[in-house]
Amino acid sequence: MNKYSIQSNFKNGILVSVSLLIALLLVSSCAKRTDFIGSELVTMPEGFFVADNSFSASPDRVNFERDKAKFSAEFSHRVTWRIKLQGLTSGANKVIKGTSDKLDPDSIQWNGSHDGLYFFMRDEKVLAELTFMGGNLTLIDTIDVLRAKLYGNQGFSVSNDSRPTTFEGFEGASFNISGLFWLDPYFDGRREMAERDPMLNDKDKPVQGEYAFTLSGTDITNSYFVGGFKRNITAMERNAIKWPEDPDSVYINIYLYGRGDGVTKLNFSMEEADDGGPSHREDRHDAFEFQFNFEHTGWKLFSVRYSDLTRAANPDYGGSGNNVKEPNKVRSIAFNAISSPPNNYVKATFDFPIITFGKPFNPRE
Amino acid sequence: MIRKLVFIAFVLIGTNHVLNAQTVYFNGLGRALVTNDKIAGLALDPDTVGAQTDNTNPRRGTGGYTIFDLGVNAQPNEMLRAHALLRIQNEFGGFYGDGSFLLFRQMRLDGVLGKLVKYEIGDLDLALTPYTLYNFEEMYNDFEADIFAIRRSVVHYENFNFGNKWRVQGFNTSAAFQYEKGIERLGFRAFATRPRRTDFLATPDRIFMGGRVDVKQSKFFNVGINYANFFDVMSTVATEIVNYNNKVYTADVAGTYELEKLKFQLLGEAGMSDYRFDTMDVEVRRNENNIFYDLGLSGEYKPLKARLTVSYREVQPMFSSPGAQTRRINDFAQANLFPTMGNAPLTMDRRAILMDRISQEHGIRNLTLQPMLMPFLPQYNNITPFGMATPNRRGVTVTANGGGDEELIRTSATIDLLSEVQGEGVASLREFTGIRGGFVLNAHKLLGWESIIAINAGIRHESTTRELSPINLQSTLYDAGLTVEVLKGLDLIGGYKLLTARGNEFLAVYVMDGAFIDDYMEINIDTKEHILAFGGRYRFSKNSYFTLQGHFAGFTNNENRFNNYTMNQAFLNYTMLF
Repeated sequence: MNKYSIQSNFKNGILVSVSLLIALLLVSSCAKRTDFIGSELVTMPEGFFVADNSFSASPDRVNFERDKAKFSAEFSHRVTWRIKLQGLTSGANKVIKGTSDKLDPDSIQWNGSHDGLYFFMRDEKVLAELTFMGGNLTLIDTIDVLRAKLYGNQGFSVSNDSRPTTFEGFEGASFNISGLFWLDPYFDGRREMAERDPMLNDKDKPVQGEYAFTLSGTDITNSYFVGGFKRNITAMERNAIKWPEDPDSVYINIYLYGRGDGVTKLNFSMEEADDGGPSHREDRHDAFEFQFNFEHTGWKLFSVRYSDLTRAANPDYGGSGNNVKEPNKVRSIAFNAISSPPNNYVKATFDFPIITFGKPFNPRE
Repeated sequence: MIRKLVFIAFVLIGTNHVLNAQTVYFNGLGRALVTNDKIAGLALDPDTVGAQTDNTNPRRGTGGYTIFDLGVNAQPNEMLRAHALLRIQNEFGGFYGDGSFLLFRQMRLDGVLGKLVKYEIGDLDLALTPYTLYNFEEMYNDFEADIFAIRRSVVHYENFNFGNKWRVQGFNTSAAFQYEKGIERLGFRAFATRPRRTDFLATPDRIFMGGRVDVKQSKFFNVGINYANFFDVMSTVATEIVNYNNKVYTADVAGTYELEKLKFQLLGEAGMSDYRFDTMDVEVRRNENNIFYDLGLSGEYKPLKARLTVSYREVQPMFSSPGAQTRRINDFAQANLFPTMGNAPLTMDRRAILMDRISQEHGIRNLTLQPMLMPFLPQYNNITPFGMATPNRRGVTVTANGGGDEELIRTSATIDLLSEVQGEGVASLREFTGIRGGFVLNAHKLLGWESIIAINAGIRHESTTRELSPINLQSTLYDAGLTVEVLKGLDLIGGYKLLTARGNEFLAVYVMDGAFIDDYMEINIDTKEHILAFGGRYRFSKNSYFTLQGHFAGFTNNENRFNNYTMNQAFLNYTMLF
């Protein structure tokens, strides 16, 4: 290649590259953009103060089943603020943030929901801290939680009480196992155990309320099946909450406590009455199942769509219906502990099962 | 079990072919490492009346290990080479086999098919370009002392930080075609890796794949096209809650014009990212396309190896490239050495400081590509915390360097004059000024001696300012070192590092969904971290050495002296590469 072709190649390369650069510059300068990215950030200016040094959450005692906590304060300037709510018993937390020159109680409210894993509990004190970006000013108030928020508005909460506004999860004054729940007849109290479980210590506490549920035992029959229990949906509940027909819009949500265990499985079963009757007949109707594992560690929320469940394989136990997923015909929900591989000891701990409609469970709502 | 069987098979193959030295060969590393540590300071023994002395956590410790990495390479033919690296490790205090354990450190199959297509399967080290797949250095250390480089080399080896490549598991293939007319060479490359495995419940498989096509028109002009795709395989979980996909497309050019004593180069890369985050909740969906470009011109005076490079780049605020933006270090990691201080309930975790960053082998390094920007501490690197692909940056970088490691002097100086493209939370932009550089002076060449006398010094200063929601952060890192060969192979080595940082920042808390920035973490810093080290090193050969060092490190918080502490460490290390 001679000198002139070298120069020609280089010139061509320069021209291509410069043209590309100009094109990119034009594109980037014409790109539509807002003033800034992310949420707005306004720091405390000099001379900032909170009127009367007053920050209040009202009422002081809140029943989150029907009320909200409302926050009020007046600022000298527009500023980015943060209200951090911390449950002193549950360890639950919630952050409300915004940018404004005041906290308007008509708009700055808390409905008892939480960020993170843990739920706020009834009868606990919540510390509310108001802080501001760019400054050290902190104002504090407290809120007493009379009753914690109920999440049944997102769907059907599998609680141990059929009254619409009472307890969710495995809470309640007592664990009612007659009528509403029943234990599997193979679940022998001598060698296997089902219990409402407050769990051991602060690190392992239930994710919601005071109680989680543990199914534990040994598969001594080498059949995979250890035992479980069933929650019947009462006629009153069916009338109060209309389940969707579309299986794509129904989600099973549950918190599982993982112990890094490759053996324990939880079979979650939605038992339908294919004839539309009041109860599930295991030798005539369908049960649709999902098997959760416990290979993770700590609490974790899992959500599965109803349409992703699989039909029970055994025709005598939920595999004899019309093979159509009809969530509006669910009559009972079963939780069964499974040993896979068989012949092992299993311990399945779970909390706050909830069936949601339209989308997966969102505790922040 | 399968891995053990494969290894046994390798050994058997090796035994059967022991007379054919070209078929089976061994490589590896042996290392013995011992440390003796001590911590003290106001953080443990506060000097105010009523304050509690830490009587829970230990103040001294001794630790170490011996390891032997044996690499077995079996190459029966050109088409296949099998490589396995077996590690035998014995933790300090576990002699006589008690406490030893065996593990497979890496496995790989590679070879050439049809004398054309190269392939690798298994544990791979991959890199592409600084904007697609690149494992960047988290902090400037170009001119740090040898004594720190030794510590860092141990950490790099343990974490598979070989150059700027990422250690991944997967498949890589490449092929190149040579031509006589029109173009010289056409190259293809493709890879696929799996950074995350599904749990079959809620966590889908995550795949990272990509490739490159490059055309070498002549020694004067190269062009390449790169593709990287980081995505979740939704069908690997029962219910698809989130659909995540992040593609990056780039093109790079290199033009060279050479004269007898001068060489000019035009280098550039430009591209875009296509980010998709789809969920049931419409409000948190995010679909973004953002571009970047980086164009530079360099001139070199060949007799002095002196080079000047000027480049301009713009990386748009939401340019997303996990392969290039993932950090190799977690700034918020807890230290392994003396991990906590203080009595309960006021126990605090000791965050890894400068000393830990160059010496802690595990628990601080990140080995997995991440789908979103990781949190970071600004005092270590606030201008390019995510490497060259740091989003929301535009401006000029000027670099001058000269000499080389075998010359009398090697020197470099770089100035960054950058700003944000778009404000974070405010309409005002951050302005960044960075100056870094240093030199290594081989003084023995000046004196005409054969024994090595090398002096090095380096500095990195960063300034970050913003007018609205004001920010003013200044951080400076100083490096100094000396190596003196007193006898053949025996060096006295010493070094000093000092990091000072003062000011404030509002660090964005990034999320994958539509908000992009969910919150800001306010940081006020007025700290110093230092390490003074000295010792000796005996070089048995190019790849084997023994070193005995003393390190004296400290952390000072000028806003709260009860966070202050010092750490002293005696360090012995024998390393042999074969």
